[in-house]
Amino acid sequence: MSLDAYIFLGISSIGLVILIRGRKDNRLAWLGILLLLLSGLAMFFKNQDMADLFANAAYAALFWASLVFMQDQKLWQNDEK
Amino acid sequence: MIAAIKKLTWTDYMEFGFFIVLALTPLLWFGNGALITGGDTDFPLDPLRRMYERIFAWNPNFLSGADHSLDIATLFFSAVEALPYLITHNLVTSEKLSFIFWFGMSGAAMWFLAGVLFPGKRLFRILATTFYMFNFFQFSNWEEARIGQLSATVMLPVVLAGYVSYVRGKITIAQYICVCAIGSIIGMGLGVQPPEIVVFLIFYGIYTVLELAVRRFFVLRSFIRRVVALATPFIVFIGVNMVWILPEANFIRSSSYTDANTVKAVFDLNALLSWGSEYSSFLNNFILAGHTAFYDSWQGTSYLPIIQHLLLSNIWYAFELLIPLTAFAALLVGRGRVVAYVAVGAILSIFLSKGIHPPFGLFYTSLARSIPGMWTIRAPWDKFGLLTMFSYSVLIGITGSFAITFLAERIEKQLHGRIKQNILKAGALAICSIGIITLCYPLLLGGGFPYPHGGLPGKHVTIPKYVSDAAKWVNQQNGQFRIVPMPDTQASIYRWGYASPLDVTLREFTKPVLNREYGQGEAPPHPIFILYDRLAGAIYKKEYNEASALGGLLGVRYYLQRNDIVYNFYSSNGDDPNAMARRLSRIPGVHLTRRFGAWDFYENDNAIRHTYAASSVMVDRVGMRKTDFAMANGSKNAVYFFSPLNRRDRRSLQPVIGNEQQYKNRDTTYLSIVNRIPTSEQIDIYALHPYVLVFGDNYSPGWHLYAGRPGAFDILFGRVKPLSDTLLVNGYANGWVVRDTNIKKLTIFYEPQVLVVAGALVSLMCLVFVGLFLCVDSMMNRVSSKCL
Repeated sequence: MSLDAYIFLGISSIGLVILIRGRKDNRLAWLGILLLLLSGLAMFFKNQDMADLFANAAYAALFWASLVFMQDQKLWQNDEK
Repeated sequence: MIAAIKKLTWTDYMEFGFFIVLALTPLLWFGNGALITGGDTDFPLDPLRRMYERIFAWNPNFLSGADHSLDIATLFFSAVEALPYLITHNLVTSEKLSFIFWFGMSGAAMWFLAGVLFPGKRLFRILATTFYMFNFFQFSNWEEARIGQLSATVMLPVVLAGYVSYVRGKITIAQYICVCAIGSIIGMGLGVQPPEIVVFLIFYGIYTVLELAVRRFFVLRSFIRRVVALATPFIVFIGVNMVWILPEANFIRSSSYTDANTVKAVFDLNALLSWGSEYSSFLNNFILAGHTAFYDSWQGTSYLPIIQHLLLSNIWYAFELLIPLTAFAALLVGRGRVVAYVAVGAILSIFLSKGIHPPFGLFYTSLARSIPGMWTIRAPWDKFGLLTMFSYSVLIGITGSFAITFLAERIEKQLHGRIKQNILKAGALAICSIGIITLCYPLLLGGGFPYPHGGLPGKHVTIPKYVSDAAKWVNQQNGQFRIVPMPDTQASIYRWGYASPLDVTLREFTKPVLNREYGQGEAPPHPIFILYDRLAGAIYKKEYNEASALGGLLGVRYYLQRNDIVYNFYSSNGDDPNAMARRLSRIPGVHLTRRFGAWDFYENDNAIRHTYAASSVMVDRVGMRKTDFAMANGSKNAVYFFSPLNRRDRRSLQPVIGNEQQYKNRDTTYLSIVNRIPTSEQIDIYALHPYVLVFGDNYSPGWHLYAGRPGAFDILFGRVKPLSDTLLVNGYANGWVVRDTNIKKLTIFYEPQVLVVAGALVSLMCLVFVGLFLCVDSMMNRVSSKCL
């Protein structure tokens, strides 16, 4: 497996745990934003490979962060009563 | 209305003024009074004619006749181009106005939605709208003038605004239907991009599940309201757009486009999917810059120098990452269903935009295999990017408005109120808006329409007078005939700066133009392409007798020698205008007849008529080799002019083997064309013997022959039946065996046009229904409010 896949698996495991715990948690969103910043930084220093790696990791973090966010907002509950 | 205007404050006026100025951005794209056209930017040279063509399912000029049911969906788009031209009679002004309309409307649509999502939140409204107008996806829309995406860009926020308003109980069902109808008319252009419709349906399905598969199941009223809210746009869109949906569905069915293997072959799907996914990495998708054309080049010269220069600058690229960073920060500062849905939309669309680009490229492939219709998406970024752009706009609006309010409050406290919060907010808003626009400055400056550079043509074009003069001369001639532009090239690049897959001859001439298909499925495969290939090959290989026979058979009255073409653009094959002129003049029966500037017309005396009746079957003609016909048709029956004939027809039509003169002597019919529109030809005919009527438009089973002068409604309601089966004759044309010589009036009709008429009727009825429903609804509301 490539490094990307390991990172995806790692972040997905964390995301799953957070999702199952079902508590308000925005650490993955922070992680995603941090990774985007790192990607920008890598780009700034002309390291395209690192920028790609950080962007891929950022995507994984933001993917789980948005799922956690959906759960936080309790969308499954009827809000029209 | 007047009361509402009186309520407006100066900040409202400033906001309007800001967006009006932004809507005028396209004015910066024009230079030197030239028209922006060429490449994929296909602004018509005669917008009124383009509009006229769009109401027909058949275009007799394009590739010398092709079904254009797909283009009916551009009716509204063409109307936006034609209306200013009707008033101003100035092409450049018309183009400016139509560009302003679409650019401004995208902003207006988002502004409308932003006001509905978060009423009274001016900061959110301005930031969301500004980003929606200025981003790289919009740049790619304009650079390629993608009608489907431009229309969808306006339609999506309008319909969503109606949905949110209705679900929140702010508008009645009648008003909601009206909003959906307006959105559907504007979004009509979506019909030219069936894959984009697939994208919408995928997301429509996802959000329908999200909206319904929750605890609302147990609250019946709420559930029903959601179902109505979700179903309404779908039903209204279908009803209002029936004018193109019916013919387009018929075209897709009849052209074998439902067969995945056919489409993959015609559109070169697999190769394009790889090409379209080449640069759509997560990194590029995050900043909405995964479009391959941004990075692509021709022999080392970038197609879009301004954007390539920008994206290759690492510092600038790093700055661009502020866009996703700001957007996803909404997960930290926002709350509620809107943020959740939009964030998930962004995440999904970023992934799907990636296509088969690693990582997880195989996952996209398996999705494409399992989700119906998804395999049609050959450029994932171009299709899914719209949803990323939309989601980003909302998310950036949320984060931006939060950040500005937060900072303004803090700074005001720090300064002990010496500077008012509103002024701080206005300053921050101005900086943010300018920042958003600056990050996408190529769009502001019209970088999608480059000037000629590095041997590549530009998109700022002034059409030479001789081109217009030549077109005028051709168009004024009576009857139909084919014109073959030379040299033979799949995309003509003119020395005066024009280059486009859609050649200028196709835009200017109202007669059938037969040239090499550009590729990427401009039309379904047709035998005439093989015949054209043989004709061009014969001319280049100096097989002049063969060229003469084929040119005659194809009804080519003129060969157009274009001396203003850039020869050897694609490869250096040593071809030049003089060599081409020599070849043309050596074809028997072909001679130079007229010159217009750099354009020379060579007339072909051997061209058969476009429509004629023959009482005899010819097996051979002026030395044509049987194998040629066999190759053209892929059938041994094709050595006959008329194929395949049944036994009775063979008896009534005695085959002769002979030449042109013999054929003419045995011709015992008189035929005259009474009227011709793209989808029908009315004929008066006098014949002594049974005959075969040959109609020279490209063969299509949609063409039928009727006795008399039936109208579309007669055919629609089955009051008339075709006289006989449509045959493939001459290897490319339509033919009918007519045994009854007492029939003096005939009508050739392209039957899919009936579906256009039927669809137009349904669309019209839907719009009338929407109007009536809205009137009744508003009257009832007035009565009930008076009663209260």
